[in-house]
Amino acid sequence: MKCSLCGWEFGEQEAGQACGKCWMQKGCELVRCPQCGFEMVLERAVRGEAAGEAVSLDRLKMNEKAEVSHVHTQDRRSLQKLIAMGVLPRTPITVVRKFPSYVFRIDHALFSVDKELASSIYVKRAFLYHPPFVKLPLTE
Amino acid sequence: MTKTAGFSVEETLGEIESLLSGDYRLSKRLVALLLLEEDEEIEEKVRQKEPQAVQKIKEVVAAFQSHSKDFIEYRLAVHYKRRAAHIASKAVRLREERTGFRKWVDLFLMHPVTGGIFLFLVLYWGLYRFVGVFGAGTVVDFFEDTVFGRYLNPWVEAFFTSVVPWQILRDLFVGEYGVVTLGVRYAVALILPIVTFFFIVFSIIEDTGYLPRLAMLLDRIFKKIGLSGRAVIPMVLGLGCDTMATLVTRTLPTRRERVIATLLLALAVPCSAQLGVILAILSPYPKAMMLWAGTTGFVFLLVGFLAARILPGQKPSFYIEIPPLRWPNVSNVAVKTYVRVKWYFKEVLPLFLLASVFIWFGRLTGLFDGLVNLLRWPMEQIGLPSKAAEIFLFGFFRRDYGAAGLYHLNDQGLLDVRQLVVAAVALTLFLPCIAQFLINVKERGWKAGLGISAFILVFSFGVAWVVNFLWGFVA
Repeated sequence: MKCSLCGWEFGEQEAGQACGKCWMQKGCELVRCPQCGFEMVLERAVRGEAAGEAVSLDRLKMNEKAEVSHVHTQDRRSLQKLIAMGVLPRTPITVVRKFPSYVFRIDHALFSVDKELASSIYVKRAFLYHPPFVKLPLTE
Repeated sequence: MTKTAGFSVEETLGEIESLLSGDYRLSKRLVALLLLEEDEEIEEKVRQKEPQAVQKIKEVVAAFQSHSKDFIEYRLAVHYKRRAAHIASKAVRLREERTGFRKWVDLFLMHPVTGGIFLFLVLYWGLYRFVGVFGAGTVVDFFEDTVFGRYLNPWVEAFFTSVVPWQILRDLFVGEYGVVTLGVRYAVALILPIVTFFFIVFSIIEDTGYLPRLAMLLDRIFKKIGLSGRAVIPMVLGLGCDTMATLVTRTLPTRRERVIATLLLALAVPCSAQLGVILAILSPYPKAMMLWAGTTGFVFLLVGFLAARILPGQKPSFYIEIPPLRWPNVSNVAVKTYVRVKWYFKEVLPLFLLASVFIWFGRLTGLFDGLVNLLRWPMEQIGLPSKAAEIFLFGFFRRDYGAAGLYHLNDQGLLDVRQLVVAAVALTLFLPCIAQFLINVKERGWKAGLGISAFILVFSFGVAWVVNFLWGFVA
């Protein structure tokens, strides 16, 4: 896995060591970076997604809060459709359904699109930040 | 506004404005803005008024474009959005949305499993129970047997017998295929109630905002047949009237999608009159009904799948706004139903009357018998009595006219279950009515219009033959 703050790559065991004597280790869904002590959701660390990195809409979880980062498509007509829907930077967006088609809420409107259009929308997840209780000394 | 490497939107707009001299009844700024967005209409106008400016303006636009990898309209939209948000923040205050029940229902409708169950219930209660069994069964029976059979027909017949001395002319009005006894009766007693009941259901469904949700549910399946979820709307409307629905295919974005939708509407989507009559006729035999529905559905998917493979062009892309769910508004539903039924009736009645006149003329000259004889051979091949040839001939005049004929053939006890299913399948798939054929040609051109009809003629009998053939093994 990879730290989403400093980009340090580490294994499961190292992560366990980083947690030290924390009494909530059992069943904890967070991992701590042994390099900088940053805590992140396990899933994100495994994906190796850096903090604040834009991901395509189809990678969001249902009802996860996010905001539009940018639109990436070479097809001008798709782009125009997305503009008409108000898919523009810094607009809050949540995915409501992923199957059989994508449904997302943007501002106060609800739209359904297919996977191709959904994957051309890039979003930033609302950042889940857990300040570390104890600052670990940086490893050499 | 923000600058992009020395090329701000404002500077570019100023430059374009300075190149313009003509009067376009719009502010120069707006004209410049539209030119920057490469609006074709305004560009044409400028080309007419001041052709020398167009080239220079294009250079300015190209220069603006070259300084960013994003398309111009995207960059402008970002600006608009920022301005709009700024204005809105001063003028609008938002309350926390009250969610709860409505949101819950919405999730239920858009869930692949519960949404599918709901769709089935809509089809069963709305279409089968309400339109098929009640509309096409109970109400039609009342109009047919009581209103026309007991009161109107005997009275009209007596009237014409006393007024018109010639048998030939009497036949035109009150004979077996008379204008009044057949034309008016089919239109008023049979088709009108069925169509009215269908459009009541359709208007209610439309008014609640269910259709976009259905489009969302079916997009994946429709993609397989070369259409997008948007095509759900003309397809569902086609269950009312295929002619109307073919006009609505204009809402589909590409020609490829429009051709596929037109083909499927003409082939495998029964109109409300056919649907009502077929549901009513087959309702005593659930297995036969399932066989008919299964065959039609299979043909719909198979032909769509093959058409999507064969026809060239881009794959469709799907997007649709999902409006909030609302309770249907009674006056909305009433007005929409009224307008649609009026449109339908206006179109249907003259054609029905005309058909009666044609048949009368055809019988007089022997032309009608000739055509029926011609159809007799294919009828025998698919195991139908030769009298069924008439309903197919009628069916080409109007789909619903043929369906009405089938209704009567069944009423007289001339068909067994196997023949009913074969006739129902063949009639559903058979050529669209004249009105729809004309619209097909008008909307899609002669080549596509005729091609679709020729394919359907052969294919519908082919499928009916297969069903008739296979029945021997199953039953």
